[in-house]
Amino acid sequence: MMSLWRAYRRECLLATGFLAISSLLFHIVAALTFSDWSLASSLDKACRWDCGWYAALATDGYHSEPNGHERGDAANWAFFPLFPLLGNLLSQTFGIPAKVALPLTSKLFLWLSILAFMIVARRWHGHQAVPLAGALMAFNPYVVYAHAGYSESMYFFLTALAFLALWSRRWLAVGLATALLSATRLVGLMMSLALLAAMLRDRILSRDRPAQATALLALALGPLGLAVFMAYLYWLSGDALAFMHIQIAWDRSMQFPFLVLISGLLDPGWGVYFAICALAGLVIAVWLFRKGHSEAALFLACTLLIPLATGIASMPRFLFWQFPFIFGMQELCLRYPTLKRVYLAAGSLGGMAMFYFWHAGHSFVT
Amino acid sequence: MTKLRIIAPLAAVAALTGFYAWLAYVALNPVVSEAYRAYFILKITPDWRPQRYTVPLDEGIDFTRPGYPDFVTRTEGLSEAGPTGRWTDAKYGRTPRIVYSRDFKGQVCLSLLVHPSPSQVGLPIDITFGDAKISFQAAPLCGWQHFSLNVTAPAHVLDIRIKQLTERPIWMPYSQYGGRQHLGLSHVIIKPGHCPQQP
Repeated sequence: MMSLWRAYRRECLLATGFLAISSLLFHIVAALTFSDWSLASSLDKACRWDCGWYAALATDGYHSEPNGHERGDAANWAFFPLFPLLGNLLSQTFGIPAKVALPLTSKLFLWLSILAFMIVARRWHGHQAVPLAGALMAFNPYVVYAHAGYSESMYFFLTALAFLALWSRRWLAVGLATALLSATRLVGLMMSLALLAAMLRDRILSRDRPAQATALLALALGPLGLAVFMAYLYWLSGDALAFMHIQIAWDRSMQFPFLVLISGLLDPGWGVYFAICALAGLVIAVWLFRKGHSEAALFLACTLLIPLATGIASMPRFLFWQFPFIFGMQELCLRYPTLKRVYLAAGSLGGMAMFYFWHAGHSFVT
Repeated sequence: MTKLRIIAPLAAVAALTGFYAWLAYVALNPVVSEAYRAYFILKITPDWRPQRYTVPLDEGIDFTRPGYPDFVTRTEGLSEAGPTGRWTDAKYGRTPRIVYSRDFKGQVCLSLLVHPSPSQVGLPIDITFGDAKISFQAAPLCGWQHFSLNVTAPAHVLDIRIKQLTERPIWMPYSQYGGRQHLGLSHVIIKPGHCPQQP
């Protein structure tokens, strides 16, 4: 532990500084919006929309049958278990309400995400790239979710861990990280595809038997988180795919993703912005592929196309919390300093605007 | 040692594969109610736990009312209830269907109050109830229509087949109703016996 601290002391301190700045801005905007400077109240009010579902889930567990929404067809089965479990753990440990514990949990994972991304930057580009990596995370235009009790920061951290392990060819660690990812969000399972792609590129099949057996186990571990959740849902409701079927309560159904994209581009409202975000993500995926980061490209493309198949509404959230997208932006910012200045300025302003819209209750931010 | 480094991971893989295979089986064979299956899995009805009301069988189904009478188990391929009734809706299935909770046999009278969309006017509407079939053309302003059917085997499912000319435009996946709704149903009555003589 001490050796880790010695190795990454600078990153830890920087991550703490970035988290402090981002949190301070978030709570100042909350205080100005509500004219209430209490931190507890600010944390409580930050927890809305999906965080409200997570809070109920952390407190009461999964519903035994659909009962929510006006039609009575909603249940919290759409929300994956790992993040609310950790929120519940924090809530129980410190005796605080889940609505406060969840934003704190997501903040903790923001710190870990910043740290992990700095370690990635140091690995690829040396010490000089570390501050930029921290800034890209802290001034992410959609950083609001890391303060509001959403699972995005935890998902980002686990993805960063998985890629760090992947680049070090630690297959079992990738498999374990993927198992945790698949218990956090459905698209986390796509890390298994990135793992398979890396193994094929590494010609794992031509290695010795123990290496092959380990690789096979790593692949088999990936879906474990999702599988345990499905088994629980089967025990609870009789439907192992209930997390998917319940999406009907949010009027989401499977469609061809590119048609959703075209429809978004033709939309006169927010749809066009959401579609442009999805397109930007796909462009970055292609660029990553061309630069030799095929696993990151594959993961990014899959994790954008899968949610795109069910609708376009939350695309910016899905995009700006994808590790390969931020990794790609970092590569571009290092290459083009002007882009770096424009992106960070726009990201900071966008992030501040999102803080305000979040507190003011504009639902398009979800 | 090398053997253990092969056998231990492979044993874990075998255990995980068994678990995933069982999960795949139960995922494909959910143990759920018929209503859950229709609404959440097959997506053939917009009604989750519809309201139930009690009326005599010969008053039939009033589709302008929310919910269903208690002699109807469920419908498929029909939209939500609106002021003019329910529409056949391809989003919920290609063959609109009304499933009754009781069987009918022998002579039955089917009475319909329907209103077609402009694209359906003049096209045939085929109705099947058990082994009895009828066909008629959709007039622009349909009034009540009565059909005497002879059902030889017990039947409880009424299928309505219409010619669906238009499809939802491929570039409009969000279009709610474009080209999807064809025939409006205001009232459907099935009751035992012959239909009353028309004046």
